[in-house]
Amino acid sequence: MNGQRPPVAATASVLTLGTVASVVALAGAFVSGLIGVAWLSTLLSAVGVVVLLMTPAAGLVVTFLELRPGQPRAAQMALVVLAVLALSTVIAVLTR
Amino acid sequence: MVAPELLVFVASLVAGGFGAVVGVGGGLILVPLLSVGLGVPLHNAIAASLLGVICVSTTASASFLRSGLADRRLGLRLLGATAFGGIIGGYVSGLLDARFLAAVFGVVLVLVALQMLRGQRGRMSETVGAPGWMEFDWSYVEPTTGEEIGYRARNVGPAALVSVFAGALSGLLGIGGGVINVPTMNVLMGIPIRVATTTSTYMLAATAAASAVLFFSRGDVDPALASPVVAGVFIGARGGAWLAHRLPHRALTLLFVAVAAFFAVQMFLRAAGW
Repeated sequence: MNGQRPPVAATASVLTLGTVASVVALAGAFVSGLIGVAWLSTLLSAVGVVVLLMTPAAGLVVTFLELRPGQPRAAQMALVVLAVLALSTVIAVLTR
Repeated sequence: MVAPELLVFVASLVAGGFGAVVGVGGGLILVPLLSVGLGVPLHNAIAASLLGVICVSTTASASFLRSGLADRRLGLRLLGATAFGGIIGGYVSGLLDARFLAAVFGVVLVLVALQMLRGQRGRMSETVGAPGWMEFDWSYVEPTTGEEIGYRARNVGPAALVSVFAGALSGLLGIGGGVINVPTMNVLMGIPIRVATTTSTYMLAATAAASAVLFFSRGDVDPALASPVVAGVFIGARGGAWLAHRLPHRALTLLFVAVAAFFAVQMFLRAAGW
């Protein structure tokens, strides 16, 4: 039934990479906090949280690129979701 | 004296593992555990839980996409709606008093516990005739049998409307929207339960990110809380997924119902100011 499954490898890789990077940073922050290196803990926490927040958006960008050749309509849906995430960021900046 | 970060880590480990074993995600247990058990302010607990949701979703999604179990086309059709709901939930959460949020959380805990007791229905639509407008046919390979199973995604429009509510609830309370998304996809759209579950997991990251950004901008994301929560939930969820097929599911479901009922009472008490 699914003769032409679209590629997923790049999206899966980006999601894995983003998650691993953020978890490593946040785990480092956790350990740094436990041993009392506060400045490193704060720095790694900030990096980990930002990377984690950006990972779904990065995955959607790669999804768009992956789907565009074979499933242009689904690729457009990825753009719509990215637009909603951009809206969220704009609201966050305007209401802070 | 145990460091508070270590207690948060252990709580997140337990919540992530338990949530993965019973299939409801860690947020439903983690938020009350942090708030009621460890005295973390509710908005901070919700923000930290959303980060945990993103982490678990992105990790699991990579695996589900590679195995073909998550239907990315279906997920993308609903994701715009859930992410928009996530913005609404994340924004409204900042306007609401913690006691009111506690009451809403208590109600959701009761409803999810009742749904768990009833069990999942496992409906599936047939792929007879040509798909209608916005409908599409797809299939997945059932890992337990190796059989390719076809299905038709129906009622995409109504499901998208429900998805807005699922996203709003996720952003409001810091839980995954799966408690609404999975039954919606299964019952309303006729998606097989395995695909509904994995596709819902795929959708959670972007939904939670849409609301987590708002919590972040309000200063509700506490770095000292985020690091043990994400590390704990990440390890707990992976351990829970491994344990899920090795533990008696029915007994764990009943244990979840008991824990959810306990936390629901605690949340109602908090809402009442006791």
